[in-house]
Amino acid sequence: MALFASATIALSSCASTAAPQAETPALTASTNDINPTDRGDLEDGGVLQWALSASVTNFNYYNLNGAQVDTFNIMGALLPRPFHYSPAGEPTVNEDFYSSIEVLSQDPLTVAYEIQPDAVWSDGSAIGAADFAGMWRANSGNDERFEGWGTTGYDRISDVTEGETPQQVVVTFGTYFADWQSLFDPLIPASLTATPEAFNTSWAQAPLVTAGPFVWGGEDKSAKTYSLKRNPDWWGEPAVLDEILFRVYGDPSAFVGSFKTGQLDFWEADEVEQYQAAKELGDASVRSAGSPVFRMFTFNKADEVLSDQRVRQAIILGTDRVRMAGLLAGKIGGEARALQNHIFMPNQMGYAENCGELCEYDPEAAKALLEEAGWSLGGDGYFEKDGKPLDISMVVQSGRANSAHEAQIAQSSLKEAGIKLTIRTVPVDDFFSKYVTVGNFQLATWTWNGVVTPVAKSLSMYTLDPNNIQRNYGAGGTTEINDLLQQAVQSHTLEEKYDTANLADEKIWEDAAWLPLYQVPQNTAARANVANLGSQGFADIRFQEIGFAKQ
Amino acid sequence: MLRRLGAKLALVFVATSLTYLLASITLNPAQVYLNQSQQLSESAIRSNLNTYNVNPETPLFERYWTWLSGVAHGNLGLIYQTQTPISEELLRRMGVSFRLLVVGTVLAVVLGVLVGVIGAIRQYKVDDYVSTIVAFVLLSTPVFLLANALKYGGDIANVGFGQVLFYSDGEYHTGPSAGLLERAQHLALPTLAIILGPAGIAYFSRYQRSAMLDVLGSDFLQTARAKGLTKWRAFFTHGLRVALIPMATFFAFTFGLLLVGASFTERIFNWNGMGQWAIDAINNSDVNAIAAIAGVVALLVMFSSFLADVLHAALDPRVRAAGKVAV
Repeated sequence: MALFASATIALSSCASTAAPQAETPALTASTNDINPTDRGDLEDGGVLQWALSASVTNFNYYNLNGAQVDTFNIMGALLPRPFHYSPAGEPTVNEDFYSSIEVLSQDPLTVAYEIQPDAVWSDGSAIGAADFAGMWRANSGNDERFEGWGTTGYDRISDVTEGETPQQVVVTFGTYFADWQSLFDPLIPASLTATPEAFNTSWAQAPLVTAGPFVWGGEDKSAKTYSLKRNPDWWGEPAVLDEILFRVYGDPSAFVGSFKTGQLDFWEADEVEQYQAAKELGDASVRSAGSPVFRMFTFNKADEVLSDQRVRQAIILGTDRVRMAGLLAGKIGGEARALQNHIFMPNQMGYAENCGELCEYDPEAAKALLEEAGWSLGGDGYFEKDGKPLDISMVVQSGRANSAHEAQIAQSSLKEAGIKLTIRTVPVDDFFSKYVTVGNFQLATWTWNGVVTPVAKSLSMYTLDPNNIQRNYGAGGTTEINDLLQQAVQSHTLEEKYDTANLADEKIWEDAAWLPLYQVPQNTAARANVANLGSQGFADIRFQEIGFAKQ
Repeated sequence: MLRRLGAKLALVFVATSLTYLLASITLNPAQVYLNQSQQLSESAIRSNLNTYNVNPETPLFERYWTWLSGVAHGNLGLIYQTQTPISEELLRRMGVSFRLLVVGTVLAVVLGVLVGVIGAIRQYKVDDYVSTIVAFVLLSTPVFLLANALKYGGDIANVGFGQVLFYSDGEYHTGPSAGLLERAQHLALPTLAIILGPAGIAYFSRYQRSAMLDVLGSDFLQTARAKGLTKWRAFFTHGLRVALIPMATFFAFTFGLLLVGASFTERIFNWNGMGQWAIDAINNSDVNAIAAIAGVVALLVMFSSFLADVLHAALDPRVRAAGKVAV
């Protein structure tokens, strides 16, 4: 289910625009795959038909029921986003809405948003401090009647005021928040945050007040389509397309047939079946890029056997991640490459390999570690200690092919290292509630997404705090890691932030309580002449630039 | 008669209530909010669960009572997560299913009866064997296989003709104001899937064939022939009518349950009818929607049995003569 994959793309990246360019470290070269085309080479107009995998349950993205990737994608065309992002996640100010966004002071952190004078909501009201203040109030978590999900960052704001002109909004933070760029993205109008009632229900059926290159064009409830029309009052470069029509599909195997009869131009092809079917189409192109989604094993350090660091490291050394990546990411166009960082993705600014001795599959080294830890190889080829075999169980969700395959590959490669892995398949509904979140597991595997503001987001994953486990379900980590992560989040320059985060990552590798496996590729399929849209990497979608290339 | 109506309504009530209780016990609506990627506020989740009356912290019978009093006032609740009234969605979905299924079902019944009658009359002739074999092949073909094969066939036809003749996605592609031709192009393939599917021609023809065979050997038909009626006249004025009587119940339930749709056909051809909704509701742990769908099914079963009695009376003079249409 795509719920909450969300914030991922929303809360992008982490560079400080206030930082001078010279301080920006060398970036990992990175691209995305969107068929970039100048607007001069595009047909004027046209309708782009875009597949969604589920209906939108609430158009207020910040409401608990609105937190879906699809909702965020639709809102990107309708609401102000403060920054554009490069494929590697580097931000630049979105000048359609803001003439500048500047850090006025680091202590306390104070950010000034200078709004373009032309920028207005669709009801004619100006965009201004009231919208920012309303969003802060609704998302801060202080008033529980606002049924939101994303308090991160908003809870650190101490004040939102109008600056010297009505176009200037000044946001002051009580405690430092390094990922402040992720806030107010997208901005929602004050009318939506006026009351808890408005916040929770007023956009349940449709976005009422918007500002963007497109406007809401209505919903066809029988056909389950949502329409966005070119905004005639838009002050920026006009949208190339006349209309974007989102179509909801219950069954993704319908995409290809629908494409062939001209009812679909753009869809996700992440599943093997969809990927292969799209590959076979003559007049469509499959577009691939690295996504913010990755797979990772979590160890339970509270478990008696796994409390020994050497055992955890032996399991890491005995797991053939390259083979796993080759088979699982490879079948949808990904590289056979292991993910060597807990915080950054390979196509993201800041990525470095900090895995030290644990980078590669090495069953012999794993055996040596186990012997050092007092285990001895038994007659059946598996290690044992005090008459008890080294038998580790891994919980996987039923019906999730990737989890099952990862566990099977780990099982066969760990066997080489004398470690027995038993796979325990449990119902999807129970996986988190009865196993993972309550610590009832030794090893577990699932998809991780939502770490595109990687440093601040990693706090909730790798901080060890027995009183607030957050997402650190295996009680991994150390106080040293805690300190480094805190320090990274507080850093004022990009360089310092990435260096410190990578230092933390090095310590996380040593601690060996998590094993990143591989980055999941993002695949989209598009009619071959669809331009400026595809697999975005970390880049935002520029809706007004989407179009059909002239034939 | 009123007493029987009362008993049937009581059955509807019991069936719907049991579905509600069963769904409440087995489904965990909070699961849609549980995910590794976001830390969600418990109070927000709880308050959402309360909005839809699916909070497991509320005792089951309290939830049941809230739901029941709502239903008594015509309020079926809201679709989970969306604030949309279920009653509104129910009408729209039934409309979609009806438009998808009515043509196919009528054709399946009429053609099925014809094939069955011919099969009986020409028992053990070549065409009877052929129709028997074809019927068993169709009966044993799962509908998702058939539907996908039809989509594939449509695709080949489109390519062959160099233009799109058959659509396999939804009711229309331009908009709700689409004309009849466009709708027919969208309806053709799913309609074929219904006619050829396991609950289509093959099904009806087998029943009709055996019902007809029973009649063919009967005394009254021999008598009719003896009185000088031609073979065909005897068949159609006396035989067919009698052979249709046992089928009446069958047809009544087919049409009565038309509105609750065909899950596979709807899903594969992307029509948002009742069948597709039932799948979505279960996937999304939408207890209220599941109960509402079950309630509609129960009501339609009741209506079908009423319809069966009426049809039976219309076809069988003895029932009419007895002067009571049982309800």
